[in-house]
Amino acid sequence: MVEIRVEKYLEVGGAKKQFSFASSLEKNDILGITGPSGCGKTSLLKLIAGLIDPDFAYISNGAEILTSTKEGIDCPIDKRSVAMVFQDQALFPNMTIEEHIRFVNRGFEKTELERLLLRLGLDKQRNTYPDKLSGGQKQRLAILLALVSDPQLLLLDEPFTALDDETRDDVLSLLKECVELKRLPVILVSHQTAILQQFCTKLIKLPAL
Amino acid sequence: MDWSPFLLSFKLALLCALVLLLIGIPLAYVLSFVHWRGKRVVQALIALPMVLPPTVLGFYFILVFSPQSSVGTFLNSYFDLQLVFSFSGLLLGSIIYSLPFMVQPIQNAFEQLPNDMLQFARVLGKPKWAIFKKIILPNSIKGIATGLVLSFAHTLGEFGLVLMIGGNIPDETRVASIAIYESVELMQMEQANQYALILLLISFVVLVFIYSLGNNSKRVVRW
Repeated sequence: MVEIRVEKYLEVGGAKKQFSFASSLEKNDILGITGPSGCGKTSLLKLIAGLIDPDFAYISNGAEILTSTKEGIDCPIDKRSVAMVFQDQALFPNMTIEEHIRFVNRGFEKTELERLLLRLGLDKQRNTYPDKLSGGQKQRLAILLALVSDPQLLLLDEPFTALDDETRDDVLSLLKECVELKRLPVILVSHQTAILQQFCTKLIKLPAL
Repeated sequence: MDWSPFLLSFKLALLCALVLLLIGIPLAYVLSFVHWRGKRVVQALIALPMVLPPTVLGFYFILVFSPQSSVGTFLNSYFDLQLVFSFSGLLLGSIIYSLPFMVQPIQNAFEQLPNDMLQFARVLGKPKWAIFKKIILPNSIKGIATGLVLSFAHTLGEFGLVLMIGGNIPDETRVASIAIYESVELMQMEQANQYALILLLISFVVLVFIYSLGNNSKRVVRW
């Protein structure tokens, strides 16, 4: 079971306000997080991924403790097996789609990769650089890379903003499939509450800071 | 025409640019990505040659490395090395003098890389060294090329520092800019003109190269 308890003073409009969050996820849970702008949704994901130092935190992926401020444990970002997809698809401009995948996981199973590429509609763009991809294609590639990195916890920050309805449903069903197949817990941040309600097994609305 | 001042200038500029590349990349990395105390002081020290007259740098260089100084005596007796009025001294002086021209473009390139991009690579499980090699360096190639060309051109054109620490020794420290100065002093205007014209052309080509790296023409917006 993934366990998350974090506290952090966040700067909101020039003032420091305390942000706290506590929740847990089972192996095939999809936890939806929503809330008003600036309530700390993205910061929460970054705290879990280890990209922001917490004031207090206990984060465990079930198998091992990733962060425990009390015990002085802070697992390095690249060793946490926590993949995060950013809101603005932070891809690598010097790499084609195929090079992205090889960079992230050189040994990823080829037939599985072909299936994923086909499934995400990226099979014809495998030699294309990010600047030639549409917003939706970039978002799908970012999600594909996160899946290819073989994480034990997947964090998605507003993953549907650049997707049309059809692609969004496709990505959602792929995510659902991965959750069931790999028993991969997912934390999904979005302001689209209706989608979260339909897709997530658990939904938390964060209060304004 | 005597080409030896140009050959010496090119040798000096090339060696200086290559050494600076080796020093500049790690230095720019440390300045861009690592938080440490005293960083601003080091940054100011690196940038000093941009605002100081070269004669100030030359003066301190002589003060520190002259055979009468303790450092000069030490280098001379233990390494048989004399830095004042020698090519090695010229190289060391040029490295210090052109350091900001290498470090700053690379540092700017590093700092312009989106944080999200580097963090995304980290959360995908990649170690910092792999990210540096496969993402940071390839995406900063324009900054690195600019640093390389600028430090080469800057060394090629330096005069005050060379005159102070190198003097005018043929095949040792008599670089192109010194040769122009000497030709004018000897009223050999035609030779000075030839040297000057070549330096002017090289500098112009270098600048055209740097500006084409920026690819500014594509950024023009209709309005």
